[in-house]
Amino acid sequence: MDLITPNIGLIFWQLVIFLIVLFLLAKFAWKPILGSLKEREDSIESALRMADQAKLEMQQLKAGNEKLIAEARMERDKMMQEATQMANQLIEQAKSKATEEGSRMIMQAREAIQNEKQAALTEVKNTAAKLSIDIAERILRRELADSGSQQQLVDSYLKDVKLN
Amino acid sequence: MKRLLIALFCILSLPVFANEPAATQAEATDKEAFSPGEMILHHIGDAHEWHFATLGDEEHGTHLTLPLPVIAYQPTKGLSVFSSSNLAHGQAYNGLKLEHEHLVAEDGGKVYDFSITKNVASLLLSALILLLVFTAVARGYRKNHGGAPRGIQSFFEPIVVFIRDEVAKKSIGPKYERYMPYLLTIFFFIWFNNLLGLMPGAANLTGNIAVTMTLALLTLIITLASSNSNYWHHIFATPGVPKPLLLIMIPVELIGIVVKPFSLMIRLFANITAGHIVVLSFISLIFIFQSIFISPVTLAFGLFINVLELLVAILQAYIFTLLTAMYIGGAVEEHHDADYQMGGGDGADEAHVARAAH
Amino acid sequence: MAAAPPKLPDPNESDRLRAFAKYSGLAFQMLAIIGVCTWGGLKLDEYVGNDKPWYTIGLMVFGLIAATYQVIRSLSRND
Repeated sequence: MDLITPNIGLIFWQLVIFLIVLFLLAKFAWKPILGSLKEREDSIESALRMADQAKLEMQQLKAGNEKLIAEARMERDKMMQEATQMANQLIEQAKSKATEEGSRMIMQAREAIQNEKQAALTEVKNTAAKLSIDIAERILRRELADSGSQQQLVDSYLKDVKLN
Repeated sequence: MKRLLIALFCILSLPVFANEPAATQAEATDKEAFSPGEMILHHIGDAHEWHFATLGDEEHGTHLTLPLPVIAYQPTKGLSVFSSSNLAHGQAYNGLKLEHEHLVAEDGGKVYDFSITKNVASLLLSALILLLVFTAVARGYRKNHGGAPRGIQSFFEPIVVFIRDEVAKKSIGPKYERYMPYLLTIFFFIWFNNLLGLMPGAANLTGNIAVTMTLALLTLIITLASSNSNYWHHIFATPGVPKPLLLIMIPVELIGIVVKPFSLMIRLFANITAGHIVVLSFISLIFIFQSIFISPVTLAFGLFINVLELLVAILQAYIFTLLTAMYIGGAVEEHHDADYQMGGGDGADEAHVARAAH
Repeated sequence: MAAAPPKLPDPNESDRLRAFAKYSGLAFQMLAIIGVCTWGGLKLDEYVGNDKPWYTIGLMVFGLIAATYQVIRSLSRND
């Protein structure tokens, strides 16, 4: 039973020494240790937070840059498209103008040809009329000399005319 | 692996502990023969001198002994202080003598023994070691301000952080900071003394009921001093219990307040004492069998248990600290603090732990 | 003391260790309640001088109930 009977002296010493140790350790060991631990953890945490923030800012910057690049690219595309469109329009315009001009020239040419043709025909008719008048004059003159040959001539002329 | 060792330890230690008194009686009948029971009890008990070793035989050999001061108070004679060497071999001095390591007065009067016994000397030694070690650690923090831990500092820092995060924060909740000094001191005090007790020739301080009782009492006082109205409300009007039943429940709850530290006291005492008894029993086997051939076996087992005791040393320190933190946590728990549902008892903070683990 | 810092249990293992401490604490508490009650009963019987140890028996049963109640309450509190 000795083993489980607490000894008053030991309780006394244990209480005194433990409380002294507790007090001294609390003052000279635990306070600085826990304080430094906390301080270090706080500084690590704040450093981590700062790094996070920097990372976030970096990301934002990167995203901004990308946006800028995309915008520029879009602008360029738009400009190119506009230019192409304009060029196409110009070509189209030029083409249609050329076609118009060509057809107008053709028309003019055709008109001129027609006119020439008309003129030529008129001249041919005039010449033919003059020739007829000439022939008629000559016939008239010969008729006065020989009525038979006159007849013959008229017949042959007529034959020619018919042939024509 | 750890659980296996613990289980093994429990199985090994309990029967030996229980069988001890019987063995003592059996051996006592044979005076000449080696008495392991007596030897073991002598080793785990307290003494007024610090006996390291005996060279030669018991009667004529040289005893390597450090005499310690005896401080006794007698209501009739007052205080007396003298060296314990005066009491060696059953001699009487100043009307006092030692009977089975108990200081008694020759005239049968009452004696209050405040001697610096082996345990008190060991206690002083451990206090000195604790102070030296942890002021050195603290100095490391001051010198190495803000930097990574170095040397002895890096050995103790994870342990301090572990006690703070895994024991105090989880068990006590937001008010943990106030109790950190006590928890850290109690943890390292028990751990260091457990380790010191494993050294050959050292005292069995944490296996002494007076020491564990004092520690448990301090835990009880701190728990009661920090208790809030919610704690007492739970004791005198446990929610969900019908009024007539409270008549029975109040005594049960009141017993519970005392029993918690009481179980702390018994546990530490029993574990450390049992461990010492097991180691000593294995060593005793050599002398019981009187054979040198048994020694490798007993040495192997003794060594194994000793290594196990190294683990038990820190485990018991951890359990004492953890349960102290849990009891304090139960006392400071706020009523509406559902997130810190730690309760006044052992088994109440699982919900919180599970939440904190994620 | 070893030179290297002791391996500290990771949070998961620490929870297991906690549970172990907690439940072994419950067992010790049960034992202590029953023990204290029985011891009180023995002393009371001795003091009163009954020829049958009624106080011991009664207090032992009370201790048993109290211990069981404590365990149930501690276990069910976090539900």
